[in-house]
Amino acid sequence: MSATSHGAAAGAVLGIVAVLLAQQLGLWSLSDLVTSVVYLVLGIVVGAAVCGAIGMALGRRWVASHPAEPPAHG
Amino acid sequence: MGTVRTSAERARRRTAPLAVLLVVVLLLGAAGAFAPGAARAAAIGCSNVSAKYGVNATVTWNGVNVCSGGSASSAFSVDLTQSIGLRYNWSGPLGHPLSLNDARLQMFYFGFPLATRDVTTVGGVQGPSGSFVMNWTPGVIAYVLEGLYGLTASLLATNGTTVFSEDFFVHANAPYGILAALPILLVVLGIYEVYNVARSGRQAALPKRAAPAGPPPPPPEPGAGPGPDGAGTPPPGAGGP
Repeated sequence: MSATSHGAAAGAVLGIVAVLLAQQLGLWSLSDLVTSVVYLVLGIVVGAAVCGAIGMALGRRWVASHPAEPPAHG
Repeated sequence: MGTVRTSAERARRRTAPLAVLLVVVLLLGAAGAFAPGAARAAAIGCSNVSAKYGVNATVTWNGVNVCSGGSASSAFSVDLTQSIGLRYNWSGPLGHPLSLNDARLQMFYFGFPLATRDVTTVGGVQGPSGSFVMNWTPGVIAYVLEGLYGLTASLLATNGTTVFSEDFFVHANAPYGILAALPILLVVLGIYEVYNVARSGRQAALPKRAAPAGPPPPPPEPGAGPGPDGAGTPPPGAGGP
């Protein structure tokens, strides 16, 4: 699993958690089914996109700061 | 030297989790900006009269008309461990006595009734006006849920027809402010996922470490037939002049 897909997967879960937690904290109501599904889909898409980009950036930085070891000869 | 890290790199490494937390806070803030309460409140109105059946009804929540809680921003703040008193007062259109036998209160979550409470009378209440009194103690859901919920108070006729209904919002407070199972679970899960996002950069190194370093595959034997893709040993005489 790449850093981007790992970040996107965590971000999708984080988007769902953010939507549900916002309702539990009283920011909005999830009483209507259509509105709730729209909010969940938006949370998944936005969370996956943002956290996928964060994962990609962190992965590139990790590769840049940890170069691969040269192959052993002989 | 690849392993030597500058102070700028170390500072960036320290600020990465903070950046992730900032993204989460911004997501929550944007979510609050799109709260649908105002739009729904405009659609609800506060007429107390059913347009189809002409029933004039007033529902009070602990003495307050539920019309005043018609939007998310004006939701009733309620402790779900306490008993709630509702009173349904109704009167039929002039010259048309009604027969009502059910006063219903429903609490919705994802479009489905999370809790339903009914007060019924055998045979129904017949006449030009009447009232129902309901005492509702939510009970165990106070320790599971908190937050903003939409409720519907409705009056049903003897034949099962809903002759009046009104939507309103309540902000349910958990015991001691936060002591409900679902928000605690969500906070823990959110912290774990933020940690996962912050550590996602390490996934970039995994494919290199996981590459198998075994011996190369043996060459195909001369007598073996063609492989599944037909790229095996050519038949005798094929390819010659």
